Amino acid sequence: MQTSSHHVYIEVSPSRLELAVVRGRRVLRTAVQMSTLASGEHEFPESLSGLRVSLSKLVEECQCKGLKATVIYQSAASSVLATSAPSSLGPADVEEAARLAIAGVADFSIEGAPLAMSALLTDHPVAGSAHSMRQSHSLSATERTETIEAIGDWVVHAGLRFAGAVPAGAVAMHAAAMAAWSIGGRSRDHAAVLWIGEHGSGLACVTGGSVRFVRHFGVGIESLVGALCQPLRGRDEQAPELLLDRTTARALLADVGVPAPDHPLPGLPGYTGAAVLPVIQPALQRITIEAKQSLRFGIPEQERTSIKMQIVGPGANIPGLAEWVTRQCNLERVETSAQTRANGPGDLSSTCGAIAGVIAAGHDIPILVPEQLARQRVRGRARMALAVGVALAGGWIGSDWYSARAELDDQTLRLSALQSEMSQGESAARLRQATIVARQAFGGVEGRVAAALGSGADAPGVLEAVALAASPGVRLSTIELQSAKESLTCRISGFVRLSESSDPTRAITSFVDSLAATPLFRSVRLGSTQRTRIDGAQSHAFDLIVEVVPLPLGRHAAGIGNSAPLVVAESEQQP
Amino acid sequence: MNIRKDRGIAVELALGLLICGGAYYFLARPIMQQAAATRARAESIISQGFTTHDAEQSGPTVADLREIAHRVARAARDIHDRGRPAFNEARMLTAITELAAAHSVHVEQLQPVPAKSQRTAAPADPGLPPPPDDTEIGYTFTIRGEYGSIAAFLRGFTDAFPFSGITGFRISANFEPGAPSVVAIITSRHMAFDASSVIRVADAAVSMPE
Repeated sequence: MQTSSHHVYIEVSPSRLELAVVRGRRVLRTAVQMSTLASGEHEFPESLSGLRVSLSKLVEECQCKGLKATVIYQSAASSVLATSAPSSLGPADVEEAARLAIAGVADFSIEGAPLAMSALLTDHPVAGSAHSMRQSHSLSATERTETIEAIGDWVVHAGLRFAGAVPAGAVAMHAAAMAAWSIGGRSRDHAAVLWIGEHGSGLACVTGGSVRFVRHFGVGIESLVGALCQPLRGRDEQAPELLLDRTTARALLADVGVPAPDHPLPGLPGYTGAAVLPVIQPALQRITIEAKQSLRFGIPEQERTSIKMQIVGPGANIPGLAEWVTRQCNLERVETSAQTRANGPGDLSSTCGAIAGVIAAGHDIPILVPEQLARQRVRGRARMALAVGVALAGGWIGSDWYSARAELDDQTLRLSALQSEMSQGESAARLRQATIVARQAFGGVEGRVAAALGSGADAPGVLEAVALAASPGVRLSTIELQSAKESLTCRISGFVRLSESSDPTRAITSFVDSLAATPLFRSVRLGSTQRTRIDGAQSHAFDLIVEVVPLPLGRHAAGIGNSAPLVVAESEQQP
Repeated sequence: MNIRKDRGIAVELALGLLICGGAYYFLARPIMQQAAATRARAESIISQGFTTHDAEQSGPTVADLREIAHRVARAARDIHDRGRPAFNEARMLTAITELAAAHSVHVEQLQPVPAKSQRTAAPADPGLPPPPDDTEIGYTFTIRGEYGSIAAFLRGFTDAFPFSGITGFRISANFEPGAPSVVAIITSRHMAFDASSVIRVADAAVSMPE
């Protein structure tokens, strides 16, 4: 299953059309179609129309339709340049400096043309030198618009999505620079790395943590293949000249490389290295001269002697080539460590060639895209950023809205409870007030009752007290109780029959004393006494005036019982 | 391409800002303002001394107050009704006769003294409630019986008729053989009190909605 993390890399050159499906940095599948064209026969980008079917076949073979594809192409018209600027400059100044520099080397106007730049390396600081002396190095590439558009059309036609194009020269320079930095980045190391590709090579020199130069030249192992396609002569001068095709020549080069003169050529009896060396000598010398001249003009002589050289890239797979080049340059050779060797021309690019170089570089390599596509991408990124920004702002607003909503709900509940409480409080206050008014009015009624009833004599008590106080022999004629405004007077009339009492006076006095001792009576006064005949019997009559103690009259209602809470309520009303 | 020179992106950026600003202004801000206003109203109520726990505060509860109002109404109704039977002369005759029979005395005569109202004049201010209509009635009655029976009768009389009082009596001995020994002429006073205003207020308090 192919996902968005899969990516397709395509290398198109005069000698090959190779496609690799990559996930991360791992090559999953490769497919290649070799060509027998020489570099000079390759008209780019016109040749792409002839490769449409081939690319479609490779896409079908790798089942990678719809994936994004980056094309590494070989074109003489592409301009690639490594530029340097003081590290103190800002990115915009560095970009502007690179733009000006590449405008000077491009053979077309770069206005509106695809242009890409990537940061390459920044020199290590050197003790004692000013910060401004440090250089930042970048890799810039530009191409004609129609070339990039043609590459894009070609890729889209095959069912892929065009991600961009990288000039093969940029790959060579980037790979050489990175390799040189890895062995020459320390202060005492001086290193030069030659990345030899199929159609071009990159040379980088790093001394003491400073990048001295990075350049590209258009000679590669296909130049040697082309040379091997020239007639070869055997040791026997009578033997016929041997003419190899490019496929055989590639195989022979991969087998013997730069052979010793007496090294027999496999599969070619009677032919030795001596037959090959003369024909490949010019191509070898071109590679050597490019390297030597670059070092000669780029590095002072006293520094050159300490430079160690390493050959990397597809050229490192050619037997004897690295030894030959370093020997010719009079430099000490550094063994290529863990060099991935191609199993053959079929996966040369994706194992150690341009595709491998682009995969290793990741995003640090200039990728050219048409202006319109670049604009679309920028717009797409801007839209994405805008959408993300709007989404974040929306989230923030939503969060605010949600928290405000929750706060509103809480406050509404609280307000409702408070309003209810306030309403209940008002009801309670009204009830309290009404109860107090009723209680006070009831007190008024009680007061009226007490005032109206006032006090009076306890009539049955009076009768009972008189009866108790009457001494033997005392007969009562009348008892009359009268209520005046401020007094209660009881008039008692009676008599003592002389026939029944030997001492009537004593009986009367005893009666008076007994009445006076009764708490119900305040005072007892003896009125008139006289001897008289009553009912035919001689008697001693008397009148008493008794002042009665008034007592509260009437009985109240049951009352309202314990009204302590009301008392509290009343006290609250009167602070 | 310079992003700053791209009008399309600028327009989209402006639209995005507009959407976000609009969403904030029309969605979040009104709710926040509403929440703030509600909180302010709640704080205002709290500042008046109300809390959400007022019901648990000390002091009489609504139920306490209602119970007190109920008791006041009941007591006022009791006062209002207690003295009323004395104003029905027929019932009064029956009651006194029954009481006399219970104490072995005979009622020989009963004379009511007409009732008189304590409400003498209309209130000076028509806005004020009328004064209570307290009324009073008196009786003069003659009974005959034994001295002790008459004393017991009087005791029963004061018990049977609340808001009443014996204002005077004249007891005369009868020395005629075969007749009851004592004749008593008794005057009594009976009052009824108008507690209708209290009943009205207390009933209103009892039936006050929560």
